[in-house]
Amino acid sequence: MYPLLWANIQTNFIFYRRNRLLVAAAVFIVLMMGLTSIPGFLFTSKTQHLELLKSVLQLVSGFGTVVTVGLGLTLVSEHIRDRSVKMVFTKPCPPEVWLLSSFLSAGLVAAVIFAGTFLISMLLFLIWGIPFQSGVVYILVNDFFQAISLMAFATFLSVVLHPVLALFFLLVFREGLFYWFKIILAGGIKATGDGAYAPLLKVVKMAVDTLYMIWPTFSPYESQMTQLSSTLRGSDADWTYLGLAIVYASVLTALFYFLTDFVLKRKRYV
Amino acid sequence: MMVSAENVSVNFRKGLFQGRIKALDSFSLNVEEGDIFALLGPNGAGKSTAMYCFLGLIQPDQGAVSLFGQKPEPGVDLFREIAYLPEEPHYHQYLTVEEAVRYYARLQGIDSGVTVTRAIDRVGLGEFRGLRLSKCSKGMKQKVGIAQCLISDPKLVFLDEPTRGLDPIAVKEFRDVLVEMNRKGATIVLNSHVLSEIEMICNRAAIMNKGRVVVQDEMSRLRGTSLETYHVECLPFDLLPDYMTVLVRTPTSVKGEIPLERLAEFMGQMALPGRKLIECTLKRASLEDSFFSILKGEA
Repeated sequence: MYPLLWANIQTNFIFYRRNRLLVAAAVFIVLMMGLTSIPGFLFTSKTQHLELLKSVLQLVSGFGTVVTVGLGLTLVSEHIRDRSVKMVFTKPCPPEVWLLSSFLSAGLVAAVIFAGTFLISMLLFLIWGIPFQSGVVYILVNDFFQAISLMAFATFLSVVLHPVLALFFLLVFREGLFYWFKIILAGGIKATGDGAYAPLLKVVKMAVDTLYMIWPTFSPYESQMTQLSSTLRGSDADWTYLGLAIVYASVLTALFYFLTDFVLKRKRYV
Repeated sequence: MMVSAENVSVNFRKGLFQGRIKALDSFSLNVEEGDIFALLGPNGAGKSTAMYCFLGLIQPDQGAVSLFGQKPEPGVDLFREIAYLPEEPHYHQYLTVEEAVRYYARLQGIDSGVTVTRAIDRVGLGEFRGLRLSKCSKGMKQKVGIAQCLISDPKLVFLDEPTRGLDPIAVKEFRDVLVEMNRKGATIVLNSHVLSEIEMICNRAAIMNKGRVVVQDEMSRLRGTSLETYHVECLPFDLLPDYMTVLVRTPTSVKGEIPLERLAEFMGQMALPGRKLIECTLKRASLEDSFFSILKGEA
């Protein structure tokens, strides 16, 4: 299995390297990072530097997540769409190994991006003479696992939908949307009272409630991180939540891995 | 049985709310070890779909397919013994010729640079090894496909329109490669529209139409002895026999066809005074003749 995994991972890296869209996204990230940091060299106060560091961290971490999702989504969907996956599955390389290689490749690139972000933050801490805040590690590790679980979800969507639809689905149908629907429907039911539409609204609300319950959330402990995000102090972080977030993201990633594998094995490669 | 399909049916959805197309309809086929077997049929007969079923790329709606007695599924260990050349160049276009062949070799469990180089050189792509597949011509991509079939020593080879896009020299070389692979013990199953080529190398064939196997037999029997006739040319004479089909009549000669079983009778007539036989040759039926006559009969 390992030689197969390694052969696929190496090929996936060639795919990333030669994919113009992904290279353009990477160049864009570096440019944005550079442009955002430039004003910092003109500031003199440490508070201003810390604020800028936070925004650089937020920006790069956000782009890291987008790139990671893009890596998973494009790799699997492009190989299915150009049908080159036929050449893989007619060799002794089962879908689960090929898919695992795709997840690992995206994961490795994501790890490099987030590790790079950490190094850049360290560098900025040093250059601007700000004491290092360990909350950076918390945020980056949390964001890394969040990116991986999002990538797994995007990969699953890309095998059941057209990649553009998958992206649309990923962006629009989020946990917050169902929460908003829940509130609207609850208000609607209250306003209707015993009116003619009340039973219909109740049924719709039940469906939305169910969807809200089963829909994956990708940042389960976001509320616990509000203080940490504004101070970057390790003392403001509850490291237990980080552990739980890692477990949650890993379970979600595994779930979407198995679901994607299930679909890949039943798909018709014509 | 090396390859077998029993009552396989495959349906495809035409589109959303548009009904279904029967790509394979109670399709049954058997390929024996050592065969060079051809799947023939008009466009849309279901040849490629049948091949996808054999390769586990499509799971049939009904019926069963087996390779070496096992059910084929994507990426199973069975493929260690199998090579497949797709009809369309569905390769990893972002890889170079060498990277692609090496990658496919590694998936087969072969990580030898020498084997890869030898396979690339064998198909004449040595000087293009660094060229990306996206920049290769159709024929070059086909050669990459052939090279990846050569890297392992397969027991079973599936070829979907193998000579498509190849020049005549490459076709000849490819034919030699196939015969050599078969001599080494490989069973070959191929789809092709080039009937003359099939006739040259295959020992068995199946003719398909509308998703079904119309006939499946040895190539010699498939060509059909009933389609064999004698072409004769003789000096013109009155009262030509009624079993003779006249093709050309000139003041100096008559050219025509006579059935195999009437040859002795015709020769007896030619022995009579004043008659002279100029030429008599056996006209063998070609696969093309059989193909058309079988499909015509089916229609």
